[in-house]
Amino acid sequence: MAANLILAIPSKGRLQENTYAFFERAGLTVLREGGERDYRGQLKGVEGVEVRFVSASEIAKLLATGQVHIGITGEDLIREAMPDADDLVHFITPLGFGHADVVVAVPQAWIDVDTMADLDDVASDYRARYGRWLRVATKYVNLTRGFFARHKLGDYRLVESSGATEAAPASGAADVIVDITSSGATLRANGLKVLSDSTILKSEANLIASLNADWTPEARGAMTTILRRVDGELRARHTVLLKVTGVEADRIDFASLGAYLPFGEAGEMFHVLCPRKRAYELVDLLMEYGASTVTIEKVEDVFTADNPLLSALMARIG
Amino acid sequence: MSKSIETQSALKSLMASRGYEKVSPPILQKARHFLDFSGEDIRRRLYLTTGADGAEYCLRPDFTIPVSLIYLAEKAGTPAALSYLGPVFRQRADGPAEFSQAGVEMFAHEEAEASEAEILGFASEAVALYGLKKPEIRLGDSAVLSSVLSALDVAEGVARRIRRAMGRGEKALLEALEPRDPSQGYDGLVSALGNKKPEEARALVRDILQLAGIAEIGGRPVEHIGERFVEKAALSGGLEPRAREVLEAYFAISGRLPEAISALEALSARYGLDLNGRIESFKRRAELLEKGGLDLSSIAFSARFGRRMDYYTGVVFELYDPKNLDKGHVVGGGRYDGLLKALGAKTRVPAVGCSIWLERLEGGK
Repeated sequence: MAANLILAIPSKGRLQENTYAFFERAGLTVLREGGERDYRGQLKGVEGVEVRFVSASEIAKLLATGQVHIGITGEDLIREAMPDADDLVHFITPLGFGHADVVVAVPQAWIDVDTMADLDDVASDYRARYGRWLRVATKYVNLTRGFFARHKLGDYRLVESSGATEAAPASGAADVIVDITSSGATLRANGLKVLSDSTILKSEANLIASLNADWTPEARGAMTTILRRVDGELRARHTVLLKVTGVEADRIDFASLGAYLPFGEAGEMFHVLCPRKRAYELVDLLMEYGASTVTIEKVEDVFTADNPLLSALMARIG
Repeated sequence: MSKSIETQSALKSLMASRGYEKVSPPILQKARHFLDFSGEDIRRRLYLTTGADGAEYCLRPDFTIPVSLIYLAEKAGTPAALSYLGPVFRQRADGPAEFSQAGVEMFAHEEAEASEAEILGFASEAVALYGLKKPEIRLGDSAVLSSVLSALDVAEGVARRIRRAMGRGEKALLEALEPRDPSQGYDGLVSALGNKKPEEARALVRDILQLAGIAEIGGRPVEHIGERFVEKAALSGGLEPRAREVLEAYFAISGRLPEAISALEALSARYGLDLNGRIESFKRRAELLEKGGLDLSSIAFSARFGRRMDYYTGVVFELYDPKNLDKGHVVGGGRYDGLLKALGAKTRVPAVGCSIWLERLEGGK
């Protein structure tokens, strides 16, 4: 049976583990029939979804060409694969894992270089002083060219790095690098530092849809089911439920805290759905207005008739 | 189509009648001649390939370097004027990858102003063949800027930044005059390094890096890092007020050539600047241009005008069709006295030339 929807997920590593966990939380399970060796799988809970296990960088290419409908991969890989990413794909939602920054890093020993403008000064003088161009080692060829061009820094050459990019300056293969970093520990361990303005992209894993894929009615149907679960889970993660007695609801401006009453008011107690970050502010406000008791609960899922993730996607695929 | 062949034929006759010798450099060139001069932004426009010998080759993106190589190989030492006409190749988003250029390069002519006037005179006659009788000529001169910077004794780091900003647009130029963000104020280290001899400064920076557990990696020697560290702190206040005032006044100079020359003279007199004979050179060039039949009021000089190629060292110019300004310049050229030495010549060879964008004159891109 032909698949209605093709979903590409990372084939290994922490990205894959986090992806499985993400779908689990949304009530969907990734099934790999042939065991770990199989390149195909299914999504338990949604009919007709074919899962493909592919490397994170390959997922970016498949999304660009429309060979898969949706995929999970890092924003850095998408923006590196296609400079015009926003015309080819739609970022449905960031997933809260896989955080990493793409940065320009220079030797810590360059105590006179704090900014890209300093690097520009140093680079422009390199040939006169050392008879060669400043060499930048990176796998992120497109992101690097774009960033350096925006800073009007043209006096450099790219050196493609196949192995550990961060080792290139120490080994003499390059002078500075553009690489991905999460804590900065690896950079420091290699004698490198990030400049005050040299973060090219703050990346994380995203759920991404291809605008070029064949969005049949069946594909849209499968997508609606998936996004309902995903949206429900994502919102619940950031939302808590308050139960309140002792105060009249219409005296409080819930909207100013991003909160609302999902079930209306009736009787002595009412419910409020509130962003977790603002919950304690809301408690203070309620107490100020005379509430006698307020409880806070976590929520498993929040489903609403209008699903903003789905509407945004449908608007783009037309 | 045949009209363009006719005009090209007329162009070839014009070049011959001015005494230029036609050369035909190979289309396939050794890439390193261009890569050595190009940062990444120019490099990615090259059509590169690898030969059976493993060396990198490219399709020539212009004629200046190939013609200069022919001069070095066959005519080194003697004055020569070499002309060319043929296709060049560049990867670009805004135009075809293959397009035609014609032009001339003059080598080893010691009379700088005469050779510049010759090139400009040729350029203006060449575009006339294509029906452009009154081109707009834009002129700049980085040698004048250098003489102003040197007369003001501007620190090398700032001077370099200002020179670099030429050709990057007005905003970049004005930014280059602004003081940089002050350094975080390691005044202790700055004053400790300030008056040290190079070996002592090196030892001091080395000790500090070692104490901080910082590995010495990367292609820059520790003493250069120390020097620039001190220079940065010294320059964080920006240009001295007088230097700033003079440079702002200089960059404001813009107008038809005769007015621009008067403005330069006025600037130099008002601030007592010794510009090392550059104004006299400018006037001589203007005289020769007029003698050659050019209308000086068709030439616009701007102190802010520069061309992006790194190898230009003096006068630069571009010719435009006033009815079609957004098509881009139809002729571009300038003086590039440093190029031949950088290509391997044993001594400095004065060089000046121009390139004509034939398709732009014929109505294309």
